[in-house]
Amino acid sequence: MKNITPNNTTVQDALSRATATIKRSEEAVEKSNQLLVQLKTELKKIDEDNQRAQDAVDKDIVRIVQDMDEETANFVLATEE
Amino acid sequence: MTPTSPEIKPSQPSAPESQPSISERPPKGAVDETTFEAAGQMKPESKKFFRSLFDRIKSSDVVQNITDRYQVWRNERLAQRGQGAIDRANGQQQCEQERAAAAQKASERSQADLKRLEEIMSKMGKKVSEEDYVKVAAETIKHGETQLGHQARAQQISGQIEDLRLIQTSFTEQAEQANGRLDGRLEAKMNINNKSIEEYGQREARLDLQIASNEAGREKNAQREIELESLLETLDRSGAIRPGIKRAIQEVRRERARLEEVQDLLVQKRDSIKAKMFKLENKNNNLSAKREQILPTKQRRPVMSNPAKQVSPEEVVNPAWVAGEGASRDQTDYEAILDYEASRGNTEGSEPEQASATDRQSSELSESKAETIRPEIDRVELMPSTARRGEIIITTADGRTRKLTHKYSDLGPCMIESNLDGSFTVKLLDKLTDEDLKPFGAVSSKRLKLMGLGVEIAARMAAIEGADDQDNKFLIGNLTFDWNKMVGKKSGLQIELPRRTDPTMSLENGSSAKEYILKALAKKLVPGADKGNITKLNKKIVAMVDRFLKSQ
Repeated sequence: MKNITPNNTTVQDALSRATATIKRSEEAVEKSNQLLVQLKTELKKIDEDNQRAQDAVDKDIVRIVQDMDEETANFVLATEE
Repeated sequence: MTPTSPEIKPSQPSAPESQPSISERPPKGAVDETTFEAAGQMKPESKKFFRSLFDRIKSSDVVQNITDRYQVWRNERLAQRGQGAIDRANGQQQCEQERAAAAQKASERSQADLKRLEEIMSKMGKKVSEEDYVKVAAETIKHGETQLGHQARAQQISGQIEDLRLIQTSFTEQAEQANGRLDGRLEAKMNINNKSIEEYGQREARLDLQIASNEAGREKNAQREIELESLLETLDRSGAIRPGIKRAIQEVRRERARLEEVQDLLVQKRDSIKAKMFKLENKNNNLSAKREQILPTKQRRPVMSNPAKQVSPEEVVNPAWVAGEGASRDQTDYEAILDYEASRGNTEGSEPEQASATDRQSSELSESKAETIRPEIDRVELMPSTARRGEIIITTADGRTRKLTHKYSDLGPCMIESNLDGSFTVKLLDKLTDEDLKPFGAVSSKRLKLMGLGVEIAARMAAIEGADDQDNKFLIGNLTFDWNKMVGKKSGLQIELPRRTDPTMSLENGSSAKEYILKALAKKLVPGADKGNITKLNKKIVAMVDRFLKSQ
């Protein structure tokens, strides 16, 4: 087996690369966690906004339907024998 | 989005017919209180009929409710009922007319009898007694009165028939308009979902990027691990560097594990987003199917009354509108939707896009209209075989036509002009000049309205008719038109001319005009028991009405 001295450039380079990779991994994990937190808020907002907008439209639908039901009742009333 | 709206409730289970006191009640759960009150005034037979109409409405789902109600409004029995009422009134009118004719004949017979009596008596050298004259005169007066009475009654029934026709037409039109509006709301719901899908898609893309980046990082860690392990194998077992490399290997493994852990969370999040998108897409598919039920796509496309000149989709100026991407059917300005758009800093959201699609079309139509040569008018067809109700057509000597219609697909009131190359040019009512409309003045505004051309066109025509001697500025039709024009469709503040109201009717003064507009707004905007109460209107709206009237 070939013996390598501690100051061997190959070892130093490998350790440097490992350190850099670890650092990038730490950053990636941190960024991922931040993204998850951020998404939690954003997705909640998308859900809420969708719900709010849908509710507004539903409210309008109810109004149209009620008006038309009233028209129907009045029509039936006006065409009584 | 929850499928259930608190306002639309499922109807109560049908009561058995054997319980007349319950079976006569209208289906309370299926209609709101105001409708229920109106239904309360019905005769028992009508109540049963009304109940049977609404019996099918049992779903608590807003969208399902729409299609259920569509079935109610388009129910053939309603049309038959309207026609039945007209037929009955026609029968009564005919009966009255026959009675009037019979009274006239009786009167004539009395006169003829008197004349014959005079002749006989004359031959005998005698005269008819005063008593007989008085008797015949009394009979004649009596028959005359009877005749007048029946004629008056026939006249009265004639008015009732006209009213019934208007009621029937108005109901059909309102049902169509309601369907159009509901279709627009369903489209708005789809657009809201599409917007959310888009938003989710953006988040999914961010996740994809992060997941891909992490995956690359994980592979890098694996490479480093192999690299360090290989290095370790080559080192002297007693070498001082070994513990350092081992620590490095452990750290690389730990980081890889952390990356894998967070990667799982990211993938889970991405899956949940995909599930949300899938759910919304399914909702949209369902909405699309419902829209198809209440307003089929083919009906959303423009249809010309002249079969020889059907407009093909390619001929229409804005294909996006034909495809239903930008249809705008009286879509009110939902605050929530605007907030929703504003919250994304996107002022060109689904609703504004729809409006702009129509505006764009209108603008393009107007531009093309400007190039059209004004033809000489050959004849005006009031209700020609090629025209549907709500249309008036002018045909020129060279066979080209100009059609004024209260509704052209989703566009509303507009004029459609045929060009020599067989294409059509459409111009919206608010883009039409008085010069464009004047040729249609062969028909009075009142008549136009009766023909189903709608309040807006009638009001414009009334304004043109009265433009020369227009001292009174408070014509009800003009006020309605100008107010609606000022506030715009999206404001939700547009008002409707009350049914059977002559648009040329003039209001006394500004106060009456204000009261008219406020009442119309209160009827539209104030909910519940206070409906129609102008004191409940928002002060800002009242101030807006004041400003409008000042500008008149």
